Amino acid sequence: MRIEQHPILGPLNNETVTFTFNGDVYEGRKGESIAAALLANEIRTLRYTAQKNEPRGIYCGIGHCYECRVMIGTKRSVRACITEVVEGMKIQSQGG
Amino acid sequence: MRMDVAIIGSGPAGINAAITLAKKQKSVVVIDEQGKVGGKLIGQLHEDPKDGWWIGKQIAEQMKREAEQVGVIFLLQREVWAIEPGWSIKMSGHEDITASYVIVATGAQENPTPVPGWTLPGTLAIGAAQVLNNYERVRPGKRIAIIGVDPLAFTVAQELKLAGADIVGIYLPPEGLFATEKAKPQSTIGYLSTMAHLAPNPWLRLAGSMAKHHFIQKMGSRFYPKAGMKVFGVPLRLRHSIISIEGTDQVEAITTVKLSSEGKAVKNSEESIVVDAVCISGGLVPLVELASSCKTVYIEELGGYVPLHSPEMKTSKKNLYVCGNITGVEGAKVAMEQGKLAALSIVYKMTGDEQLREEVRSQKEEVNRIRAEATITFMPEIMSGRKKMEQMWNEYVHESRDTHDIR
Amino acid sequence: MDCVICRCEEVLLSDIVRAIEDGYTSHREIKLKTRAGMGICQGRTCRLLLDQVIASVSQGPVPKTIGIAPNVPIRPIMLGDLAKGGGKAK
Repeated sequence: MRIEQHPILGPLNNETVTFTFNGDVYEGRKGESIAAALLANEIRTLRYTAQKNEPRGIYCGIGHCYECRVMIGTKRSVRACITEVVEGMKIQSQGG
Repeated sequence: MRMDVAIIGSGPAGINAAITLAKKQKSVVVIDEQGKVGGKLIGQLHEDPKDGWWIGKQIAEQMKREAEQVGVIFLLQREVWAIEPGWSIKMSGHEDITASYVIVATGAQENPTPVPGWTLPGTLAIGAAQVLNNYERVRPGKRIAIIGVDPLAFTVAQELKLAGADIVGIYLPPEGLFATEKAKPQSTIGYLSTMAHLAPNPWLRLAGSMAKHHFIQKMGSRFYPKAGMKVFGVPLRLRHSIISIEGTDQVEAITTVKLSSEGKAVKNSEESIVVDAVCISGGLVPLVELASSCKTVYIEELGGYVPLHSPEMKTSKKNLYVCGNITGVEGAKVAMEQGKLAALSIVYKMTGDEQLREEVRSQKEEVNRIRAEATITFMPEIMSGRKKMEQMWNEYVHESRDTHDIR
Repeated sequence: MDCVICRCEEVLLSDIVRAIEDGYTSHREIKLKTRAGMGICQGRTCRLLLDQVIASVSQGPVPKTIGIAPNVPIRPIMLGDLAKGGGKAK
């Protein structure tokens, strides 16, 4: 999913960071959002809803809809679309 | 922290306002909810017929550097939850900021178009897809369908294709109460034809000229090829709509239906097409929530509710100014010039300097000049929308002359 | 066609239409009855859609006034911020 080469934008920055999502270890690129890092690892489903247990992922991309909310450590409802992934980050799906 | 001016929003309008103010020796802070400076500018990528490639990410970085060099303070990842008269800017988890003047430059949000299945992961607002693709450099999918026929959909389709994605088509939204005219082939062709002279990218030019063609217009959608027309390799399906998005844990397919020339679904014409991502483009709406203490007016040509404002960008609230897409949906270049205009208006108000009056006057002309030669127009009747706003402002000033302080 | 309108509270179009048919016709009433617009995003995504549903079901024009007006605070905030009035200005 990563666009390593781009006809206009050139090659991609390849500085990496390591993070975990629901306990599994993944690699992201420095400076990218949590949502981008997970999508690059083919992860689209970030959580399941409280009432109907439906899968949800990033939708609006500007921090408005909160669909992409995740837990970072013990902090709830962090928006994956506008929060940068950093080295050692522990990301978890949150119920609801 | 006490400042001359606080600006909410670090998009092209907000940063340019900040640069202008700082160059005039005013203390200025720019507050943004996001961690990155540039707002929606960061995802933009298109070929400008005059200036070559417009790479939003680079422009945003340059503007940020320039702003910091002239002393602009950026406060990022701060959510403003209220702006109280005085002005006191309330932010979650942080101390208030007080400022003599406020500029609200919060831009626009996307108008959602609900489709059955649109909550499935892999379905994205088109703006989210744009930022992922061009800024983050992560492709939203390998095989992508786009819902909604408008300038942003065309632009992003081209950008996704540049990044190597396969676009199965640009489709009309499902017929229903959320998309009435936008779900009809005939009115979509009419809408496209108004864009023929605008050229944000070769796509729109081609689609526009195609729609403008006398024969197609006259015959309406009847003779629009059912298979769609390919525009630079992407099928533009004006006779098909997407009626649902399917999948278990994420997007796996779309179901499309054929449309009659009147826009009615043809019975038993459902078709399932495998995709792994869907982008929904429902148009942009000015984001007025932080300026809701100002008098707002509904002007369809500008995109909906906008704060009532003067041609110099002042609102009905004393010392509160607006610029950029909150005043009406337009391209980044117009937003930048509006930002500069709002900043100059404030400096004139602060100093009363006659030379500033002249700078404000010439900057108003500059906004109009950039608007007239814009290569991206989202609202086809933007000019008449701007005229309406000016009339409404004049009426408001006239009516409230005796009762309110509207300086 | 049925689909989710309020993503936060998982409210369907059919839930809202039923509420309107049962006589809950204003934004406020629909919000209280169905919880549409009462979730974490505070109606930022569905506000415009509710306007359209009400207009369509009541067969009137889309209201020319802001329906569910954005309430202060316009972002979810910590109670501590409200308690201290957002902190003292420095």
